[in-house]
Amino acid sequence: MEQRLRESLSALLDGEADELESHRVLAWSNEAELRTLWARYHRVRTVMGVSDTQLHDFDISRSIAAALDQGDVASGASPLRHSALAQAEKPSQARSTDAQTRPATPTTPAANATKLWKLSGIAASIAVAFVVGLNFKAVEPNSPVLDKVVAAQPADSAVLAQHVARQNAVAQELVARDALASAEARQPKLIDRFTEAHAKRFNSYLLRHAENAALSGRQGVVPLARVASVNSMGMSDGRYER
Amino acid sequence: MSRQSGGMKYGMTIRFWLIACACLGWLGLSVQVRADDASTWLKRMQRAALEQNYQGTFIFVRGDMSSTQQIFHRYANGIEHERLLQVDGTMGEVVRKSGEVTCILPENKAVQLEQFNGPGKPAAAFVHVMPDPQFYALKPGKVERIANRICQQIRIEALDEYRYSYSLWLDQETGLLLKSLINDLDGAVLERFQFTSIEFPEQINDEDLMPESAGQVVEHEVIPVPPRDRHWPDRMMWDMKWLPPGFATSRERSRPDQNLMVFSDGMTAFSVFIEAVSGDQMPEGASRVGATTAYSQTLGVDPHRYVVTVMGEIPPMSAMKVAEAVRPQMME
Repeated sequence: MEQRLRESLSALLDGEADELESHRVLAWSNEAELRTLWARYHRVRTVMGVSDTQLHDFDISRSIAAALDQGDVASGASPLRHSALAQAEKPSQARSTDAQTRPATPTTPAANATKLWKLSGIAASIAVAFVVGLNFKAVEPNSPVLDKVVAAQPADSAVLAQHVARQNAVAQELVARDALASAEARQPKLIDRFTEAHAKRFNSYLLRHAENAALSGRQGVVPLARVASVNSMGMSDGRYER
Repeated sequence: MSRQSGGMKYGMTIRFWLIACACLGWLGLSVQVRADDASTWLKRMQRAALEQNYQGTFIFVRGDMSSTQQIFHRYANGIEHERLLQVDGTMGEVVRKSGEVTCILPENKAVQLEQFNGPGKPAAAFVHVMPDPQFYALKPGKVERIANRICQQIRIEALDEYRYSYSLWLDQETGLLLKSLINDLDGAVLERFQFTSIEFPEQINDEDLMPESAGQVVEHEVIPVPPRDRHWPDRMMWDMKWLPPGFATSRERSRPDQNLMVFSDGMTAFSVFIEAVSGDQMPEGASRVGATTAYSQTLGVDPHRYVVTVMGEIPPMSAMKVAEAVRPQMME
């Protein structure tokens, strides 16, 4: 795998990744190789005794409390404004890759909390994708997968709920953008309403195909059953548009 | 004294062995089929489908639409003869005699499908194809009762996302398939086939194998092929730049001269049709009916445009990727 990608992945795990690197990892996150590497890095870190609170014992309330010390989370006047989390929420704005979005060198507890906060957002998205095995397709607004992971965290404040919602929105936005950007993730367009002409054409292909399958004897009677039932498959009972 | 004790010991030994044997025998009866027996079951299944005389009724469910059908199957003098009859909804019949399949559809149009151009005798055509262990995991399942017969379940699980998974229930006595499910990648049931009643008579009557709508209009269904004109080479050959892993050309069923290719992975098959662009082709995209997917796409650059349609019991994503990668071998 590309060296830059490996570095980005490593940086992300160490909490050193900037937004560009995080997005690079996200863009490649449905590559099997990347997943394997991710798992391996995790194991190494566990063995080395590095605590991965950002990714495993993800305590949102602690991060929020820390961030609250810095300012008002809800109003957006907090360090959140400059975090990648907030940045990703505004896709239409040109993403600035200048120093403004880079994390400040951690010297103060406030800066630490910011970094943790920012990392938690991105990392949570990735953790969801990896841990739950999410395939980067278009995600519905109320994705049960995301809800389940986030719901596992303590939820005892309105601020937390807002964070959850924001996190969902971020994850979805990234997912949707990746789906659009990557030709590999494209899903076939599903046609669910047939015209009469379409149905006829489908049937003629079906007959031809069923012949091939039936005569091989592999699946016994099923291919012939498909043919015999072809006209009860909603194609001649008015379920199509004329 | 010693004779008596000797006699007693002998009796006890016999009893011990009798009990031991009985236990072992009982154990043997209740031992589940092992994994490597699953492929033996599949061979039995294919044999039974050919050689058994049977008649019965089954339901066939695709998505939320179902159909009830009757079937009569006879194997006599090396000739296989069977008839399927849809008994609810619109009339539909399929009669198969060895390599010849005739479909009688509504408006009583009988469609004769092409003769099977396979090697020699029909029985030889029933190659015992096994699901490739590289792509499918064979697992024995539970013993269940279907249509009042004891059946053994066999799971055939897809090992990647390019194909579906299957559950088969085989009659313990004959090996015949009595129930099957096709599962989508997420486990949803796409298609269900299940006998509700079945019997294995010694003879099947001739009249049961005659279509009810015999003697009506016979029409040969033809899939339009790209017209031969000076812009196309005389014999168009096609390249599949991408195929799902494990799928290979089914040589005996492909018809390159009709721009039809068939591919199979040993468990399922899909057909690729390549045609000229016309007014009444299918819309681009995936159409699904139960487990069957049709994916249609127009490719090429003017004037060399062509429509590719992939149809088979494979996930829409597989069909799409195959269709998009079909290229002509231009021989200018």
